Amino acid sequence: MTPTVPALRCLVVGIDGSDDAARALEWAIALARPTGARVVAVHALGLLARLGDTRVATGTHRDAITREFADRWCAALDRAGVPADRIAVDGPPAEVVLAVAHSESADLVVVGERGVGGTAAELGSTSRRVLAATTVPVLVVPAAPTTGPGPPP
Amino acid sequence: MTTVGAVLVWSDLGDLDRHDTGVGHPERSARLEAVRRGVADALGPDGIATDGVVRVAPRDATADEIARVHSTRYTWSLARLADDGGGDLDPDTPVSAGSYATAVLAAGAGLAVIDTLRASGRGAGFVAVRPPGHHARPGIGMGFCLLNNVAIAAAALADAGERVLVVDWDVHHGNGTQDAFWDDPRVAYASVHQSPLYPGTGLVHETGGPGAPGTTINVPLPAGATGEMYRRAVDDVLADAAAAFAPTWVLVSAGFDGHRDDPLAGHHLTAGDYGDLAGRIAALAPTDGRVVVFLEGGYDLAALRRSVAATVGRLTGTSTSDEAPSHGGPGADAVDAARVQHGRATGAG
Repeated sequence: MTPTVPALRCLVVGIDGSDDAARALEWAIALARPTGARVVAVHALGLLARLGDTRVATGTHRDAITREFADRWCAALDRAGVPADRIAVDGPPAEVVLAVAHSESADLVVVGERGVGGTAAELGSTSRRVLAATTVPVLVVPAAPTTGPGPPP
Repeated sequence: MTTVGAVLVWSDLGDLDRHDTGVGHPERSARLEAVRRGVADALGPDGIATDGVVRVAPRDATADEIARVHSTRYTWSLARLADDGGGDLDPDTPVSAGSYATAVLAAGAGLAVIDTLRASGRGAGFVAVRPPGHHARPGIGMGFCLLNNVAIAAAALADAGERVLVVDWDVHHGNGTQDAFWDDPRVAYASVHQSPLYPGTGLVHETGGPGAPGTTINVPLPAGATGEMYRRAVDDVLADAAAAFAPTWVLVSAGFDGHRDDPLAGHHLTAGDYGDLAGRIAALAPTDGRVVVFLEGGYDLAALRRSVAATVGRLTGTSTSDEAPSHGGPGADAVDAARVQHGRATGAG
């Protein structure tokens, strides 16, 4: 029996300003183009954030961080012209991604394998924590370009 | 109800602090030096050497003591991460080679202070340690926190038959402590904090699990809140809840990052506000020798020093703050909402 692939209506992608997250966003856009799915870019606001090379406190640079996320880290969404939303939520990255995936009834979650933190393998990267806690299909985009293919054109 | 006493039972890590968060991280070793100076400011030039101060050497928390709060899998993994040279739990929370040993010692410092207070029945405890703890959840650390120092202390007291009230005045909600005792009727958790802000928890309707309904109290205040709103939260919400709960011990998660000079948040407290809060919360304990204050956040070193001085000065009755308490600002509606949530009719604040 041929499995039925559900329609993709909503893709949630975790964005943290890292190269991995940028690659995850490329994959989300590539999947959204042919399917018409809406892309929901999610950023978890922690205690600290990086604006360029500077580490800043989220509590006092909240607007600047949110703008950086929406305008710069998610710039590919504007270039692609796919339906998209940007959401910044306070909390740990995996839980924020999971909460938004739930609230948006996401059909697929897209995350980078590693981000700007949470790299301790024994304790689980953000991508592993998302995988461990959701019933929504998850696409984990590898950490660095390999000899394999990039996202579909 | 207790009054403030003249004895300070305190413990700090001194040169045993080997938790290295890296260049530019606000949660840094210099914080402990600021705290030491604040304690000295409160007690006077020779105060730390007087009979009014009992210095308690920190000790390692045992595996069993830590396991009352944290999963063995997590603590094992944290120890291994440190042994391997370190890494990041999340973007905010680095672990260095010395972090696990320091965290175990920080957790044990609180236990050592409690042991001393139990033996003497006299004084107020002050635990000046890092890394802070109140974000550390049973299964994972986060938000600068590795092991939950105050929760490990509260769990030890609860297992000894005590009823413990944890009051958290850090500007961030202590999600780890809330998680640890969410369904535990022996420990009540009350937090006044900024919201929205990291970690995104601590909403007013979060009131405890089915096994401990009403024992979690959250008063989330908007940005711009002053010390007046914290005082109202204590007087109008926490005081009644504490009276109903009848704690035998009161532990304080004392973050000083709600200070108006602190870079991590947007509340406008002064050092004098922290002195006021310390006095009010000490009064929730049933007798002398049953209040322990644990350092959590506070990242502007000068503000931290002044705020610790005000807190210790009030607890010991030795000094008052030069920074007047703050008034006004938003948050009255949030305090009222918390009061309603916890079953008291609205009325005069």
